[in-house]
Amino acid sequence: MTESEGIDASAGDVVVLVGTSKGLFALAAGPGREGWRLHGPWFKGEEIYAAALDCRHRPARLLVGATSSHWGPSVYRSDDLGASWVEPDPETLAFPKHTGAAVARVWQLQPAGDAQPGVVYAGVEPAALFRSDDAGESFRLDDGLWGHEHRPQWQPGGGGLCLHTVVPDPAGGPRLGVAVSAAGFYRTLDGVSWEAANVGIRAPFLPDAMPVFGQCVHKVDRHPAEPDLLFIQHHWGVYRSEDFGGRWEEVGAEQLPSTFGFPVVADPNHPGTAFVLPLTSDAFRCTPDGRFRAYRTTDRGESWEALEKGLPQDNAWLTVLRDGFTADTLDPTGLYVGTRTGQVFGSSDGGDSWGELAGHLPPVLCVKTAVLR
Amino acid sequence: MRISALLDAVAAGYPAIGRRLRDEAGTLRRHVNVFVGADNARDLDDVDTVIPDGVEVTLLPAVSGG
Repeated sequence: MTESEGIDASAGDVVVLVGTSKGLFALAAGPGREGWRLHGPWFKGEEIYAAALDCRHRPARLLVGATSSHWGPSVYRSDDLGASWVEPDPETLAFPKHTGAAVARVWQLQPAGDAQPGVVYAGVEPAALFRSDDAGESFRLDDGLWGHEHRPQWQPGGGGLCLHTVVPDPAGGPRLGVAVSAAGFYRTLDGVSWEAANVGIRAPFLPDAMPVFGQCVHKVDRHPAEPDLLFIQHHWGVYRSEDFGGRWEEVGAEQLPSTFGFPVVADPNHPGTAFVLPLTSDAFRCTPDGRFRAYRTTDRGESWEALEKGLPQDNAWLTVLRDGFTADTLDPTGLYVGTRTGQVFGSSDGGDSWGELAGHLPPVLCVKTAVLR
Repeated sequence: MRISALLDAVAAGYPAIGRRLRDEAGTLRRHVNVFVGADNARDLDDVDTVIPDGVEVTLLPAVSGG
């Protein structure tokens, strides 16, 4: 297909967006999740750290956070599944002049729930939250988080000081959580004021191992039907909160081959079920023992089982980044994982078995999925 | 005219080009080069460089990008 062709998909189909270091790709299949069709690349040469397929609208809207190494970042949108694209004019995903800051990269594009059909959040580097009320056509800075008293002390993680995760309230309420690397998890309960919410998360790389902030939260996810239940994959440790971040408890420390990793995915169909993909240490960052395995809990993190059927188990030294793992909303849940070596693996049975959907893409930076309505 | 004023004029007439050359804080993007004649502005006074009359200014993506 040519770059000007859109994704060949219709209502009921599953679309998997694959953002890579050299452009955007997409996989599409019917609800049976067989016979995947690969589309792309769009935005050749640009880093795609953020993408979303917003199916709250008809037609569905594609949003892409692309970064050109020459020309900087921008958020593009398409209402015809990629056949044509609109570049914002003017660009409002930009810091107001009084801040003196400039967006280096868009790390996350997160549509809110069905109760707020026009709301889309954007997380950027340097760590800041932007909000759109017109489905991604224009954005404004969240001044409350930008002006937080902790900000002058925030330190970057290995990927930069980025706001990489946004956790909206699925019911459309004011509660909102964000994760910043490496400042930690912050939340607002009233939609205006923000507080650090890291109690219980150990930060062994700091003199005070239990600081108020400064944790390197890699990813946060929640189940839409249990919005108080959150899972975090931290720089070291997987954590669970039962009160939307009021307190965290480490889980899986004795059962996972490593407590280091990047993504965590909550199964949207089964509360208490979540997935992680452990990597060996922050120095090595490859799958343990040369075996590519995801891990699943079905009891809120109390126990974990390895998922490996159909995944490479011999000399597979692979890395999956924080947004490289996602789940669809069909039941059994479909899971999709992209690696830095350009492979995309998928499961249509909740992780019991896997297959390779694409094997020769550029390094995968993000994987996002949606079922077309 | 300084380079900064030239870039302001470009941004005023062509906003999409303007934001590709400079970020919203007004900083020339890292992998964009501005040549005043054969001289890279980064070797002169950067965006404060005064453009001599009749000298061509060239804006180019740097080989360091991409």
